[in-house]
Amino acid sequence: MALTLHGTVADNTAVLDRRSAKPLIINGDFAVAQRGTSADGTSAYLIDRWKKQAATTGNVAVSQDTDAPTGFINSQKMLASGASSFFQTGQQIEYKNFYPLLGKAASLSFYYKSDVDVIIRIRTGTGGADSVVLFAGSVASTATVSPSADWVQYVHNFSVATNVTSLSIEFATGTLANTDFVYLAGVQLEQGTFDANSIAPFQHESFGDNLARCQRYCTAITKEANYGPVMMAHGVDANTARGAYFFRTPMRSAPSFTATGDFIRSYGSSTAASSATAVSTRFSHSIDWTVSGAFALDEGILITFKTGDASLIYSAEL
Amino acid sequence: MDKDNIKTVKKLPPVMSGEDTTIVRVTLQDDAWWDVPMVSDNSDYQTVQEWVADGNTIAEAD
Repeated sequence: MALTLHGTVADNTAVLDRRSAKPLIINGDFAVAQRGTSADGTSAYLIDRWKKQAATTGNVAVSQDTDAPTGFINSQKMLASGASSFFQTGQQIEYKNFYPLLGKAASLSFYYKSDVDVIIRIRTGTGGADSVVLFAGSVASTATVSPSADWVQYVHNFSVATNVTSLSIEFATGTLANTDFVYLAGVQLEQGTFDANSIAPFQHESFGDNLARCQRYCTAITKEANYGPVMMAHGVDANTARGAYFFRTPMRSAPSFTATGDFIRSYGSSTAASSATAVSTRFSHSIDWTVSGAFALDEGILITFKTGDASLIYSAEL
Repeated sequence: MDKDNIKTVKKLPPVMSGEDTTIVRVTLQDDAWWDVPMVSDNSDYQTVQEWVADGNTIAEAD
């Protein structure tokens, strides 16, 4: 098999010398959106691994968009519908993934277009591993890029101190007005000092591989069909059935859990059940489903979605 | 989960009688809820601990 090199010597060195087999930034192409594809500026995750926050939540809309630079099919779009003193979005990288950068130079590359300045912030912490620094930690490095009407790539160089135990990369704005916008795409983090000409190409993963990596931090089960199966359960008593979900990808930590919409037993009752966690682990999670008089001890039960939008969300974000 | 967005925190009953509670239900200001395991590497539970350190109290299970 012949190895064909293109570009400059530096270009090829960057690719051949890459230290990580997988991208350090997970879902840097904004392709995976298990929680949904649009939301307001409330401080929360929307597109997988990317948290967002606006000062005035109702005046900012965030969405997965198909306007993207050449070589990508998705971006994250922020569009203001009124005033907000700031918007920010970012990703905290797990210590187990970023530790090879300790004591090293690093380059954050991304594509953007906007009608406002975009502020890059690298936040770090030196306490317990993976303490939350996203939107909150010490700013170790920052830069500001000017508005660009067209997609443009920018590379920010910084270094990671040897004692860093938490690391996040963030993009922020100053004060926003109606119709202000920021698009982000193709976010990648590399060991070494590069510019837009020398940095290695974005590491595209298959959608399935990308989804599996995201599921370490969030697993969402969303209704696709009326009465679609959710999980098997067994009767604990007349009012409660206990069911379990086994994660295909073990989660980073025992996850937090929430449910939205209605769930029912598959036969004999259309009364929606309330849900409460019984046990949460990195590998599996059990739920007590409660409906008055709907179950019997040791009865096998299939829990299904009802007819409206519904989802189970398991979150083990940093 | 943001500390300032927490309305209440309450323990859920233990999965087996006589065992310790391992889950708290966090209700947010908009009445959305999350069941949060009481483990140190869950970032939501870290936030709950910060909320408690501010002088708030976790309610006991029913």
